[in-house]
Amino acid sequence: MAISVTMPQMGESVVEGTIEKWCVNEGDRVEKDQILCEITTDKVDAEIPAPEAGIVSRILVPEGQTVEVATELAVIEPAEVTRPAAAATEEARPEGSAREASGEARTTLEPSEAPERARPRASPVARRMAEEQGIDLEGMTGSGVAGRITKADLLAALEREPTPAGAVAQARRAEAPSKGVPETLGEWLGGMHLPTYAPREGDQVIPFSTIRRRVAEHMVVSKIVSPHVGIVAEVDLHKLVRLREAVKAEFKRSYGFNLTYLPFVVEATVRALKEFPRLNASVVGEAVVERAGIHIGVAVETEKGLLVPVIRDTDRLSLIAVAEAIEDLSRRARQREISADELHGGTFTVTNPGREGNLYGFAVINQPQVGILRMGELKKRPVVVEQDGHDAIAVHPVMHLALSYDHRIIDGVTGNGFLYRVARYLEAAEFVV
Amino acid sequence: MTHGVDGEQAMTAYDLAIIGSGPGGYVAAIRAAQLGMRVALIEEDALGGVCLNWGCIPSKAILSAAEHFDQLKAGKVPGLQLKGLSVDYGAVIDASRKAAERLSRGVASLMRKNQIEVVRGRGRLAGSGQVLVSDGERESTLEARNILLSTGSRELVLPGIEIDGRRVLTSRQALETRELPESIVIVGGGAVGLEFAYTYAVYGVQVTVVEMMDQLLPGLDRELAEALANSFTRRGVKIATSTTYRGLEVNDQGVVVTVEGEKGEQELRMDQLLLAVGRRARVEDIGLEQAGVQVENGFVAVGEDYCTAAPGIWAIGDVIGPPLLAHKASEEGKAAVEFMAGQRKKRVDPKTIPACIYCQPQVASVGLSEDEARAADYDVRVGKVPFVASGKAVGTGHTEGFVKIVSDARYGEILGCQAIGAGVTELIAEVTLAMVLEATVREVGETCHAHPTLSEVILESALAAEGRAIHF
Repeated sequence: MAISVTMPQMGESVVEGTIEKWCVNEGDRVEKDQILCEITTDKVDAEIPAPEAGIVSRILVPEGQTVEVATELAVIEPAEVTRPAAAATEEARPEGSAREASGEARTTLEPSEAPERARPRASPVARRMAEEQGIDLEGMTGSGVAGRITKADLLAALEREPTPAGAVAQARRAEAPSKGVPETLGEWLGGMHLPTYAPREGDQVIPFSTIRRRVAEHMVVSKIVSPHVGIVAEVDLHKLVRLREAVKAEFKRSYGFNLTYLPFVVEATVRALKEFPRLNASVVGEAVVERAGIHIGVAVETEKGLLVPVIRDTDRLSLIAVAEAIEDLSRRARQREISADELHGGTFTVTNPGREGNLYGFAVINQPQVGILRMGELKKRPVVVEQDGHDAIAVHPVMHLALSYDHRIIDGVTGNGFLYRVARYLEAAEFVV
Repeated sequence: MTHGVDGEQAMTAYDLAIIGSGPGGYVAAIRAAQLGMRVALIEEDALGGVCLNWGCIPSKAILSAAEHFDQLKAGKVPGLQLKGLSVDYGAVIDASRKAAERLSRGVASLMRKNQIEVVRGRGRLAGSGQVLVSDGERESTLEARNILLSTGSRELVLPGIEIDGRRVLTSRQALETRELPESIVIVGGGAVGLEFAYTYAVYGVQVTVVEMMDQLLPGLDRELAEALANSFTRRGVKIATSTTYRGLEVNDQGVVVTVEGEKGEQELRMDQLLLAVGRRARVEDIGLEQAGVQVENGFVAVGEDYCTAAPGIWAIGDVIGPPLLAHKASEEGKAAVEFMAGQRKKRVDPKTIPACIYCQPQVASVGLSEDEARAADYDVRVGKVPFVASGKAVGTGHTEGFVKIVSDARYGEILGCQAIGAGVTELIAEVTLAMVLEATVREVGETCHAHPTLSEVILESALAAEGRAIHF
């Protein structure tokens, strides 16, 4: 059934209104409540929305014309209704046609040729043009018989929007506006196209290991889920290096493995996390969950890929116990003797790629955590130190510590404050070994 | 309801009054009736206008006889020998008149069927919404909401030439002349002149065609014109292009026509002169000026919707300008009526109006020629295939001529088609439809054409445009 759009009664004393502007054309597809036209009356200006979704089959009152309240302004055909060819409908009213055969009526009456099918009718030339120009004909209405899209329609579209991209937009505009614009991230991502890979002779194909697949997936998900912010602190490890040098031989004798800087960084992190529980947290739905315990994950590179075993209750362990845990976990991780349980439940992660050529870098947050600390290389650098109340340049070992945090729940002051505390603990080097 | 209007000053209100019942006017009348209009069709002469009575139809009857005669002449059809083949040209003319009368009656019956009032007399615009009709004795006034002018055209006569209907003829008189001349000079190398040239030449008349422009069929593809000129020359017709008519003397023996060509002036002594230099619009004495209808370059000026400068007065066909073709008038007649009823947006596209010449070999053209397409900056691909490549043409002895399809390399769009040969006036319809539908050479090339038919040459030309003709 065709729906009639009439001039509304805008107030008790309002008897007529003027069409200011038509926002749609005949043949356009409209959504329910989409603005059809703007009207003005002597009391108020208003927009007339479409009462139902459908196709504007006829516009009966031209712009600038003033008509009485309840005058029919336009006709909308519900989109899903199939109906006989437009011409037949016309011819079914010969009397009306004869009466309309005056010069005046001629200017206001247009053929009511509306498309009835989703698949656009287009001439072969139009199709080939569209193909070449990258124009999507879907939803476009042409000027040919029954809305058939012709070369002229495409030329007009290209003239209005000379770039192919613009032409696509033009073609899409004819569609209902909500359609084609994704409402969810998933829908939007679903519309993305991946660059394609063209195989070439000699290419080596190395299938993903299970770990690699998990890592890959995890990295992509983390980057999408968490808006990463990276900040860097320069840490003067002059004192820490002296401390370690003093104890490392003794340590090796007592425990059988080398004392690295990692346990110190983990210990400093734990202390700072106690002060900034917001970094020891997760986002669950629309809530921040600050975790009860501190369980630091340490990233270990293995042949099969990256693993992050977790030091349970790190905050309850002494520095030596942390060092032992790291040594044990990383050895077993490399030997693939680690259990799945030992890879889960971390609340914060420290990573130490540790090689040369690594001033600093930003790691990807290990979900569902909200922060990750990444150690840069330790290197002697000139630093300004205060000696006897004077500034002096000294050569000290320096490390850059980079923090990636989740900006969903951590703002700059919190992030900076946390990293500053980690750095201060390391520079102070007050550890019990 | 065909009748004269009885009583003086009879006033009848119509939705539409049409002046002129040619192929534009009577077709417009039927379309208007279909749309529910009450229509009056005003005609001072025979229903159907020049086309039906003094043009297309009788000339085709005469050409058909000539073609048969041509075919039966010794040697034309291998194996057939006819002794004493002769022509009673008077009987041919009589048959052509019968065909015209029959069709004119057919138009009358169509008018009855569609309840269109045929008003006999000469129509003249007489103020707002009124047409004065006079049949020489009585006058009456029709009142109509809209008035459509389809008064057509008449033959153009050069200054200084007196048409006597005996030695000096127009095409209308030639169509009634029951005797063949010994020799004739035809001034004008267009469609009309060439159709008569063919007819006369077939019957052994000595024919000279004088054309002012540098090719026959001015405006059409040069290659077509040259092929036709060669064919006519082989037939014994003298073709004088770039030759201008200068003067005429009529004496007891015939005519002496002075023409000026590249080699200077020359006198042609012939039995008759046929003047076929074109046509001009019938714009005089129909009250255009008083009604406010503008005339430009001798034709009625109309807008995109065929409405003249005077509201409610519309015009179509020959009277609004070239091409002066019956089918163009018919299409415009339908279009104008649909515009009146608010049922149309676009005028008739001149690019898809075919032009046909019915001599043998026939000539047909639609859309752009190769030269025109290049001038319009298309990347032109021409598919040209001669009829000699067609099995049907070889089998039936119609190997003369070729088909050229002009296409745009970018999209394969068909821009035009020029063809010369047997049956091309029928074949052109396929290409015209393809153009209207914006089909590319690919769709035509993928369309199965029956074998053996001459239409296969259209298929091959479409394929040839993409360099993949099978039989050529």
